[in-house]
Amino acid sequence: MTSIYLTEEQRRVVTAEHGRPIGVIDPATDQAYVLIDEQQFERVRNLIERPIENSPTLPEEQARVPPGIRRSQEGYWRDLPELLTLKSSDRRWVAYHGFERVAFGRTSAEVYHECVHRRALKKDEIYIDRMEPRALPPWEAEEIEAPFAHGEALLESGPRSAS
Amino acid sequence: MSKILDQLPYSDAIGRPVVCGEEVSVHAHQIIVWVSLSARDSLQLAEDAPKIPAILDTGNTFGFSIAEQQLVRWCGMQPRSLETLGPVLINNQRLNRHSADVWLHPNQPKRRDSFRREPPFRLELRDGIVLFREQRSLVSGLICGTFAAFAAAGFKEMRKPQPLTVEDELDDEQPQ
Repeated sequence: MTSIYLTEEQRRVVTAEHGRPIGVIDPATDQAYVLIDEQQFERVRNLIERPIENSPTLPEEQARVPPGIRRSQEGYWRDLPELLTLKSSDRRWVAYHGFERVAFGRTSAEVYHECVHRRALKKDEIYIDRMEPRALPPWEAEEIEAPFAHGEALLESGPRSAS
Repeated sequence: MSKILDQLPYSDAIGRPVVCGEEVSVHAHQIIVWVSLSARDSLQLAEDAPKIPAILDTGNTFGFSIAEQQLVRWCGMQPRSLETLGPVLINNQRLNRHSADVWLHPNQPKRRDSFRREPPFRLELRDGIVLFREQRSLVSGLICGTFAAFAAAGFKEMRKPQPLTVEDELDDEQPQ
């Protein structure tokens, strides 16, 4: 495992947190990391390094929001107050390419088609959303309470008893 | 006004619909609708797109979620083909939202697993779908569509007590 050395300022923050996890962000990529001490890491190391067999699970780097989409989300979020005033029956959806507003439409399919097939914009550089209020920016995690925990087997293959 | 779900029945007994040649068990009282998934840039659903059952989870406020395994096995789609849109916390589990469209198949009146010869209705989900990682088993997991998704699609009327009827207020303007 490669090691990097803390600056004096970072060392003071670590000391002040008394072993609590510390968020670290790479300003160039917005990639977030969590700094924990080695003892804590050893306790969860097996979980992190355990291979997942036969899983189509996305590798972490592919599960991140592509930078182009993220920039376009920022454009959408910046303009949302104005977009709410522009909404009409023909303008229910909007597309952003970076900070540029590139299309309006009645349906998301219409807007998507305009962007991808007519303007030849890349899918991983555009963001399409409704012209409706949002509580949080699209890149932040909304908290959802679901009655059934995800991963619970509600729909199962094979025979099942009534008990 | 066109009906999409018409007097959709649900049962007080365990059901066993067949998905892609595979029998699945549905718990009693679960409301099941049939849907298909597509990439978001599809103007219409491919005729041979697999139909999969989705539990209509009336208490869930997120639009649609599916296990990665089921996306691959039943829909023939790869998670990496769906752009990541951002995170969501569902019951404190951090998951990702992905770009995709869900199409709802109109049922024949009073029949759950038979379909009318009408085009499926695209549920335009602004936040895409959630993929979750089910690692306990390759076959079990949760698919859920929600009333929240129906409401976002502009459906005018949703009568929950049996028989379930869902109508589309957009009439002929429904997106394809």
